[in-house]
Amino acid sequence: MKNTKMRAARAAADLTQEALAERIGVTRQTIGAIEKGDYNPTIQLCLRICKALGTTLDDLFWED
Amino acid sequence: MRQTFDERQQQLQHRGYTVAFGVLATSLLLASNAELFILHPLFATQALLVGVPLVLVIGGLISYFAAVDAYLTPQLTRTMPMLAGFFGLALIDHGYEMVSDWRQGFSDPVWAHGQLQQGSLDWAVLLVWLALTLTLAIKCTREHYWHRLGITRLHWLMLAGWGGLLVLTLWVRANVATVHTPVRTTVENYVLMILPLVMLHQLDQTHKRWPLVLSWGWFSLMAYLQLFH
Repeated sequence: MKNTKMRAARAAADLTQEALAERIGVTRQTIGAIEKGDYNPTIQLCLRICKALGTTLDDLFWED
Repeated sequence: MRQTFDERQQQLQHRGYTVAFGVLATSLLLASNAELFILHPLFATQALLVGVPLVLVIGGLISYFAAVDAYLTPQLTRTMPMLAGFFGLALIDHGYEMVSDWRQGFSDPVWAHGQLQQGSLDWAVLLVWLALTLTLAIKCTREHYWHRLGITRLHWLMLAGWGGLLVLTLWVRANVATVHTPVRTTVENYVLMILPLVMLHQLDQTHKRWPLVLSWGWFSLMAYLQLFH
């Protein structure tokens, strides 16, 4: 399932996939795969993404 | 330039190693026990029994890593097109050798007397070069890595000059020169001639003057030897 929340949060932070990837030390492809729902990140990576985007785990990864 | 793998790439690597090991073990087991079913060894020699599955599995594994970025990290944007070119040349060279052997009538058979022969290894290597070239070429096209090579109009002009010189040499070797060098040898020498310049172009260093002088010197020497010796 696509992670539209993460894509929206990244856009709101005015970051490209490449810029976010650079901040948290992963590849752009990994960010793309998470947003497309092709890859389930570990909790550590989820936390790094949340910190980089200034959000919480619930905001980005909790399914309504 | 970051060259470490992130967690997704590491997971893909582990998956690739596990599957490749499984395929290798299974194929070796099947190949070595095939004689139970066909009542004679499937491979003509012991080296082929190990060589063919190994070449195919390792080639497949490297192609998989390239396809999922788990081996060549996406940061190596210039390495991928370079490797695609290298594997492409290897493919052409190997294919040319197989075709010329076949035309001259001494190519190794793939299958004879109910066994896989030396020719099967040639085909396995050809398949691996093809898989690697196609995987990297598709990857480079999808990720727009070709543009990052920074090839300008001047480079295209130089490449055209190199091609023209190659054609001229082939004509001289075939019609004027007293010593007739095989076409393949001339082409290989021409690839060697331009290789230092190509590699130098890919390096991210600022002080290139002396390496550039040496590369052009090498180019000129090779051109002279090809045309006049």
